Amino acid sequence: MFGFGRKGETGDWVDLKSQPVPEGRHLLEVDDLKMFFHTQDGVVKAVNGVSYTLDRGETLGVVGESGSGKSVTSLTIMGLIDMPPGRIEGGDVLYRGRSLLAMSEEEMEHIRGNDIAMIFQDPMTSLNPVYTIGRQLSEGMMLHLGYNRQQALQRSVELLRMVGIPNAEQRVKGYPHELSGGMRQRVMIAMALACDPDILIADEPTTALDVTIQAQIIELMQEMQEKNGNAIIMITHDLGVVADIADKIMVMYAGQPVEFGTADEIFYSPIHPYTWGLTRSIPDPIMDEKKPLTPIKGNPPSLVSTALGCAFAPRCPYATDRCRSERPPTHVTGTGHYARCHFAHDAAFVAANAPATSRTKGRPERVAEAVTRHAEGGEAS
Amino acid sequence: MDANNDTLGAAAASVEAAQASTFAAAPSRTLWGDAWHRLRRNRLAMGGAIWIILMVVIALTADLWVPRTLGSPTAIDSSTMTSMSRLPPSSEHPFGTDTLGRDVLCRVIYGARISLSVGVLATAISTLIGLVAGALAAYNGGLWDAVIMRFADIFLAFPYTLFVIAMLAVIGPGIQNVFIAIGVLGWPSIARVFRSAILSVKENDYVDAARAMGASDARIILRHIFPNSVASIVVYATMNIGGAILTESALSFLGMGVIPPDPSWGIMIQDGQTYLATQPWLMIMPGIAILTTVLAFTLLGDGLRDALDVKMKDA
Amino acid sequence: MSDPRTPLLHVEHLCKEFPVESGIIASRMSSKKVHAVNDVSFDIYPGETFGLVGESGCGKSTTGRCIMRLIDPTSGLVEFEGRDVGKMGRRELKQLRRDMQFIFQDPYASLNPRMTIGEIVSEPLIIHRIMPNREERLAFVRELLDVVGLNPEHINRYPHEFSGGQRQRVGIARAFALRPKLIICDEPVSALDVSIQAQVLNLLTDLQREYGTAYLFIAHDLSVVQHISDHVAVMYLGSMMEYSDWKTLYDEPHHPYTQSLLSAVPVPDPDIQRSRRRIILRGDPPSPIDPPSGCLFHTRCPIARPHCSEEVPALDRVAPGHFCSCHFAEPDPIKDSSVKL
Repeated sequence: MFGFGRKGETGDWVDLKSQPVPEGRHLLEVDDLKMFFHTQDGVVKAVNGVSYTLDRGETLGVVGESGSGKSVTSLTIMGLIDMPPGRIEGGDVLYRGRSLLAMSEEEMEHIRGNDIAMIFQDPMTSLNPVYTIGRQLSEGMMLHLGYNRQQALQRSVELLRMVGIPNAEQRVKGYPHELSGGMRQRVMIAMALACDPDILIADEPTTALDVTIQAQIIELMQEMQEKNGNAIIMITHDLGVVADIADKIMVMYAGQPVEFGTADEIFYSPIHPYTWGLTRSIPDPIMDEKKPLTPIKGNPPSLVSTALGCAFAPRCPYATDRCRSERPPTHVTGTGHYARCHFAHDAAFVAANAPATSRTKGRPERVAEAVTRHAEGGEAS
Repeated sequence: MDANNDTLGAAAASVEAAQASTFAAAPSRTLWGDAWHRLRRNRLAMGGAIWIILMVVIALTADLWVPRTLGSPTAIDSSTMTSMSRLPPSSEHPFGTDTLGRDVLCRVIYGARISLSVGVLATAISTLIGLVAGALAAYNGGLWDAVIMRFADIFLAFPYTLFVIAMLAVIGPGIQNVFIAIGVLGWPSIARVFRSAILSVKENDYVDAARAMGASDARIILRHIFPNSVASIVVYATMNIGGAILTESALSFLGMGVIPPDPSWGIMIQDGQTYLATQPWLMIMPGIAILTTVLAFTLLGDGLRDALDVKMKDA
Repeated sequence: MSDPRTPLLHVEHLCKEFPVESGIIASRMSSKKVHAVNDVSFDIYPGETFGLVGESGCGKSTTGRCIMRLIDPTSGLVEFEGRDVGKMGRRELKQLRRDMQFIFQDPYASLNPRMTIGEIVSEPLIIHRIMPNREERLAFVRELLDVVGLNPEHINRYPHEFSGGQRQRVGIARAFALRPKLIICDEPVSALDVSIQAQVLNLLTDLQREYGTAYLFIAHDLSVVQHISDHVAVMYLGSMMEYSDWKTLYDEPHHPYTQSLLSAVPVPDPDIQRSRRRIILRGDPPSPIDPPSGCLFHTRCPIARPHCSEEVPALDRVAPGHFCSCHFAEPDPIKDSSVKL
């Protein structure tokens, strides 16, 4: 992070960001990526066959519970996994048509922060407490954009103002501990956006924050995306958070994507029993009477398991002998919506067991009604 | 940015990997069993432990075989004294003989008795005082904490060895007084270590949980706080034994400790220093004994620290 | 509050201040105080769930700990079955802790790592000498483990061998071992994964139905609190902002803070997210060391007027069983969602 005065040396490096995306390719293509950890307890299949594509301006939501491999996937893309114990066991990651996995560490240093930036869950530990906020913001710009200290500081003030931090001129001279958690997460976003990256990876950016602050941060990320046109990968355990922001959603379980589709597909026509289970586990915030939740029984899986069949079978209420013995194929629909389940192609099964959604229940009318009620109330006052 | 991300990324990844491997850990073992399992895999610590056990066994059984083979550690035979004086190491006297014709190996072995017992007993005294003081300070807090810890600070403000010498000057030299002086003056650092261990254990919700279910203070200390903070004390005490042995040697070297003709490693070094250039074994042999014993306790303590850490799981 | 039944727990004007400076002398000299809990009053009735919701640092956990006297309140009255908890001696307090139990947030820190789960669950029985016979006690513990959905065969295993959700079940089994009348649940599900959260919530509901236990349910997640509670109180900076039954609070929030909290809860349904009105509060909650004058919420309130910074609003009754502390209390007080500060 510090030192290695590489500023000005960017000349010999072809800035991938300014290159057009090759014909027929996407901004980011992850193709059957496999990343295993080789530990004493055995092989941990942390990422096991993840595939998706992402274009500029899009937001991908990656949803999964702890240990589902959702964070490791992004860290693998960023080349931030220690190898060993990690090892790429197959697949590829293409950024603007170039393989990130084939790049040297030096090339990856250009990519990180410049083309793909990342923000983390805990804003308290993500900032270095002994450096001023301005210095930490400047670092990336001096490294990747060849700014001098003066220019970088000036840009830092602009960035802080952009992410809504009051008294930006004073704040650049301040230290992280002077800021609240929400403000620090704003600094992290400013830092990530400093070099105008193509892709912003946000790993549970709001989990450590209060609800009202969470709403602010999500709003900020959306605003920034509209302004800069970057793509976002939003990693979260909370389906509610991605409902707001995601265009596409990948649901992960035990290192595998079990379902992938547009937000509409995942929320209104999900086909994988795990996705159904997640939806049913969340208390319905708009309820008239109390109904018990329908949790997913059992406990999170071991990633070391060598089970033959579907990873979700032990917890799946619909599991058959076939599910327990045979790995399910990936069933892809016409729109690119896919699920790994033996019954994904069985429309009748899906229709009979999928949870009711607001669309099937005619919920929008109720919502519309509520909105009108609010509007009327507004006029009355 | 990059380096920052690197560490975080690696940390996040290892957390997920650790979670994954946690679920994989299958067989049930007790925590002490786990600790033993980990300790056994630490070669340096096991080497230290074996060395200590060997020393203890030799020192304890010395009366059974040493006088017969190597002679008495203290008695002086005036008839053979000059001919036997300061002989170099040989098959008959593996460590050579000293000025008064006594076998050095025999004296090193009997010296181990004194050194080990000083180490263990003095540490036992300071641990006992330190545990009580540390527990009172940490558990009661407030005025107790302030008074006890300031008192400990006063003790720590004086150079330790000088303090021990001063105390021996008052109570007089001799092996028992050495136990007492080293033991009594060693408590403040143990009290500090134990206090901070308790304070960090006290933060855990299970202590509040015990209070919330109506457990008495005694029960909370004995069942919850003590078992979870004892690890740091075991580690510290183990290392402290080595320190106490060093202190005793230093005191004996200065003539404040064990009174001749009792063999002590410190006295032997003091006796031998005059002949360092001509008959170096007189000083080197007891020196090696001190070095290896103190090192063994330090290595064992280090290994125990790693082995007793619950957070290490079964890595 | 104007309920003919006798409350199980009665809390009145509860206050708790912490000194900002630590250390014996500094804490007495300094006049700076953190107002963690400020004049909080509520009742809990037998077999009911009372939800306490608010953002981090709003004093909800401190309230729970004051009730159990894990920490001593600065002032105020806590009555359990008509007896003043603050005046209880050692013996009475022990009896109280038989009737009142605690479930903690962190399933890792709340179980002693050096005890087996059997020892953990039987500890309350040993402390209160309920089952002196070891065989009988172990049989009971096995049964209890079975009730909370753990394998009774695992009675001799240590906490580190279980996942977070399973550990929380151990904590629940321990809390229920004495069949208490009230359990204070301090964020019991917020450290758990979504699918496990639902398991634990269902378990708590089932156990309540079975044993008639009352809960004080403390959490920051409004949808979880609503799901499980009969009555809900919203706290902000140590004070109660609004109090009502769960349905009224959702349908007709009278306090602008409640309304914004509700609108900030992400709903896993894009249609609803798009169509519903969102109120995004500006700024951060003020520091409890130096709370704002007048209404505590006025610095972030979209409908604040000059009057709000001058006078502290009282927690007034706006409808039967519905109390709100706002000068402009009315159903859905924030009319214009585009208001920004």
